[in-house]
Amino acid sequence: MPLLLTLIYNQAPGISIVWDFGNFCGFAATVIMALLFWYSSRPKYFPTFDGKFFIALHRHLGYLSMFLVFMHVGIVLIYEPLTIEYLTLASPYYMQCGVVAACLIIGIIYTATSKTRKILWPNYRFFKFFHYVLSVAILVLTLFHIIDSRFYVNNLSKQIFWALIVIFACIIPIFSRINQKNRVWEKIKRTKSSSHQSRVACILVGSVTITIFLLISIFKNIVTTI
Amino acid sequence: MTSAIKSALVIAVFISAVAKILPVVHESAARKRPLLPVVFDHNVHTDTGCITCHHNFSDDTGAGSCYSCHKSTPEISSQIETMFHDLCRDCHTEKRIDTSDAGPMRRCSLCHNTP
Repeated sequence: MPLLLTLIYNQAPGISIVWDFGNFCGFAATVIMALLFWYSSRPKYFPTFDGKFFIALHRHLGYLSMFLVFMHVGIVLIYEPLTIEYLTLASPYYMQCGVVAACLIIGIIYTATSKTRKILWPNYRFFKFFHYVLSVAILVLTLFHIIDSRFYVNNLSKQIFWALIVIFACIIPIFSRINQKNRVWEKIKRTKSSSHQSRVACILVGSVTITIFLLISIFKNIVTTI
Repeated sequence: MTSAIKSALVIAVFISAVAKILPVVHESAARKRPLLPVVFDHNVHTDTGCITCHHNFSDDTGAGSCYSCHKSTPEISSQIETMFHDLCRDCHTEKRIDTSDAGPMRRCSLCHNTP
């Protein structure tokens, strides 16, 4: 939805189908990253579904987000090889922010896998703290990358809109901690198929997102060329 | 809430460190980087006033080619990419919105190639 609003209101002209689609993948990855703060793997006071489903969903959405980041970088690099200049230290700071954020995404996912997590942080509280700090850093760096690239987010209202999304996402985990006192979720029966369900949900979300943005890219470029 | 405060502090320190280091690294690297070749056809830009690009004609800020000042002056050499890109892209984007016929807006190879 944030991307659709960005595209509809005061929209930037289409550049080319592949270029636009590659960049929309980056936007989609950012929105999913922000969603990860909402669908945290911490069970909620009143889970709307099986608690374990959201633990798996958080993991799978993280993978989906990383996949979309790879698509964003890969598509743009293959389509326009000169953009490799943006991966150097001489590139503008907002591009460096994007590169650092992409590297941190790989880092955050690797350090959150159960094997690595148990080796690095025997105490789960430290992991949660590190994971939160790193995820906020990724989102803030991505915000700089989006805002200062200044093409799709091309006016102040859109910049404020994306900044609010990031701020809201970063605040969510702080407040959801308050609800941890009543451990209602432990009484909820868990199904064994939760992980599978969340995987299917993520594949569906990913497929629908990619299809929609591909269609928008095509439509945007047809409209512009007409 | 103490962990929240800790988180906020660590984030603030991280962001300020990145904000301090990145510009320094960028400036030294941008000065050393060789320029990419650029194709600029004056014939298709005749409807744009000369001083839109050649500002030194009116403000006496320099002489010679654009690069001779923008690459060699230390104060502005690190911003050369942003300055030139903004000048070309913004104008092309505005024209594309108005008339749907304008030069490249983002695609690197359409400007950065050898004639």
